Amino acid sequence: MDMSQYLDMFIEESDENLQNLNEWILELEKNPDDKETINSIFRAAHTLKGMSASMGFNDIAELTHKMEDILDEFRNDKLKVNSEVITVLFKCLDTLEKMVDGVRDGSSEKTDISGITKMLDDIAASGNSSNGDEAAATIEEAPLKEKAPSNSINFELNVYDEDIIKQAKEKNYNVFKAEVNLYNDCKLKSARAFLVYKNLEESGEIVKSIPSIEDIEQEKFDYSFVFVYVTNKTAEEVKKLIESVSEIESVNVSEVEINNTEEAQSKEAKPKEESNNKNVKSQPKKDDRTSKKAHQFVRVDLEKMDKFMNLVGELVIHRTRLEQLSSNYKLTDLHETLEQVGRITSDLQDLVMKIRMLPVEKVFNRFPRMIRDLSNELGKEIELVIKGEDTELDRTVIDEIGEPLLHLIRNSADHGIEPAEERIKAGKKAAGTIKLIAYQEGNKAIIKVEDDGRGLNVEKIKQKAEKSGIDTSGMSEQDIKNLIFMQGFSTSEKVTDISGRGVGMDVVKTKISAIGGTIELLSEEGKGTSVIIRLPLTLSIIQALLVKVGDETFAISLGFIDRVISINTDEIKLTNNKEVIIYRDNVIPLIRLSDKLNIKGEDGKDKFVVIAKSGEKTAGLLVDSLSGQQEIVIKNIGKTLSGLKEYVGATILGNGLVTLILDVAAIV
Amino acid sequence: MAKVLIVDDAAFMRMMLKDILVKNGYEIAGEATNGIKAIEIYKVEKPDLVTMDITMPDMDGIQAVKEIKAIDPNARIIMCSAMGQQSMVMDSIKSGARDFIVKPFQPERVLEAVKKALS
Repeated sequence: MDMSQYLDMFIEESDENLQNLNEWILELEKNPDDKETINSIFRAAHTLKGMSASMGFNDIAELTHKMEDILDEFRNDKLKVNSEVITVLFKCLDTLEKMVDGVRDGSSEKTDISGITKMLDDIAASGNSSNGDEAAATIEEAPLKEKAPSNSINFELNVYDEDIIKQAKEKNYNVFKAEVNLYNDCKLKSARAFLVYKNLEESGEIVKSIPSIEDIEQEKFDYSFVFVYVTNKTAEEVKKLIESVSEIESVNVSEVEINNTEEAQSKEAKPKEESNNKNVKSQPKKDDRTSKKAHQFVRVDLEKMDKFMNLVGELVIHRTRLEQLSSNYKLTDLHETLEQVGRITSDLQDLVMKIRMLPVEKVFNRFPRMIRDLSNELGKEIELVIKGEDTELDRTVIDEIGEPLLHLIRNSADHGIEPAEERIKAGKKAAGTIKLIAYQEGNKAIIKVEDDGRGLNVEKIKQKAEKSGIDTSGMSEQDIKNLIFMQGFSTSEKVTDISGRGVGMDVVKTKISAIGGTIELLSEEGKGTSVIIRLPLTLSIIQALLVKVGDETFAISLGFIDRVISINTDEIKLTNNKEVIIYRDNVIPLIRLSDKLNIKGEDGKDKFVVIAKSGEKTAGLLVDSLSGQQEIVIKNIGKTLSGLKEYVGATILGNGLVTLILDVAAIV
Repeated sequence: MAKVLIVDDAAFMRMMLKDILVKNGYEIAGEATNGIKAIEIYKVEKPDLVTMDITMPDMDGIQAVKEIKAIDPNARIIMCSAMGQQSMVMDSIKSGARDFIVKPFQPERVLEAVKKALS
């Protein structure tokens, strides 16, 4: 059987299970005696084992099998969970992640699992367990096999069947196992069975059939067949439906109960877990998951999505063109129709943007584990509070935001949070708190990383700055704090493994600017630091100001624009041989776009200055005139022109004109 | 009493079915020798049940099932098949036949199918 078609599904589901494992192991560390958590871990390992074995990834199957062995010992109280066990479990998880990554990358390299299995064996040996393998073998069999009574048909449910059945049950469907015996002189048995199945398909679904449907169709069966049927009808109704077909000797319908004990336990477990207040972060996720299950999902290739997005972009462009034409020629009828088209395209645009959105949870959920490791490594007690993980962002932003956040959290843990003694001396509670908060504000998504640590030491930064030759006189405190965003600026006296290699904050800042976001720093010495990141919800459709320089029109993203002022060129002053303007007592360096871009500007003295901000840099861009604000779709300018640093892309305006979009960050 | 339309190109088969049904208190709504006639009679008589042979000239049973179902989605039709017609039976089931009986007919099987189809 060709399994490659299942590969994507396998990887995705494995990722999901690994993530769950991660959460549950953390949970287990907090409540080592929580049987439900152990059961959940066990199930996830079991599912992984089933999947990987079906796919032929035997090393994954072997490792998860070993994990099951150990977990079973915990379930049976033969072993106690301690920190060493947790560490080994995390190591297992890391190894599994590596192996799944290997599968994803298509590498045939075999991961060595002997080390980790040895560790698992050691744990097993440390308990008073008599025979681990045997125990594992029994759990292997017990939940899976269900012998059909009074029938020779060997009826087994595999992991997938169980999954389907579980899902069906969650949706309140009845799941029946039905056994049908035909008259033993029945002719055209296949057609008979087919008729039974067809009657049933009308009000439910047959999820498993033994013999298989194919075998039945080829009459490769005796006079009995068994199947699992998911329906909203009662057992009685199902029986009647089957019996409405003639030449049936007997029908036996019984409710399917898979993993009887586990099912019941997990049902019990849910409310318990939810009432557990300590577990702030995993709670919303669970709620989320259950509500998600009610929806149906389609997996779509991201490339197709991008193409779709692009096409919608084209549509928007042409709509704008049509609108312009209709207003040029004053065609009322056309105008009305276009208004409709306009509404629909806006809706379409909204929709395609929403489709591309993902909850930041995808990024956030790796941090609890990281904090755990960090607090062990640093010997500090750190608590991570996550809020608003359901805030949605464009997929491309999600992909980029992980690394900067990682830096920020590491910084907080390493530099921000003080050692416990120091905290107690300062009258704080021993455990430090790092908060990771996301929410939406207008058309921006905000992500905050807050800690209640020692805050930035302005004096230290000042000293460091002066050492590196920066004149801090006349700088406000906030300006000094912002120096940490400068390249190569690190105040930590000792370079640790975690942060402080001098590539911290400036990298964060660059990355955030690259995706059109801004970063702000608030810090109070002794109280803590909070970094606020503002991100655009989407990247490809932006509001832009159109400006003219000479005969050329350019677009500038509104995100960069602070304000626009009109000036007379006589107001331009010179300092240090550089042109500046004075605006509200601020000296702002002036950049003549005509010079910068080598275009002949218009003569005349009445011009406009677009005051643009990129990060902490501000500059005035001198342009000849303004031609209004417009929603534009960013298009790549292609490889040939990729050397042009001044532009982020191009767009097509309503009048069909191709316009370049200025990269303010590169110009300022 | 329920009215049954018997469709078969062989008079012998019609006779046999008729006997079985009449003896057991069913009324015969009519007899047809092919699918086209079956549809005509069906429209007029609106029988409670049709027994439909598969292999017939002019219009076969499967096509007739489709057309009768198109006229009356609630039509109850039992196919009369022979050994070796498995796939055709399946086709007619897909087209909406309720059940099927296999030649040579055994009266109790015929009656079982008729009873079940009418219930």
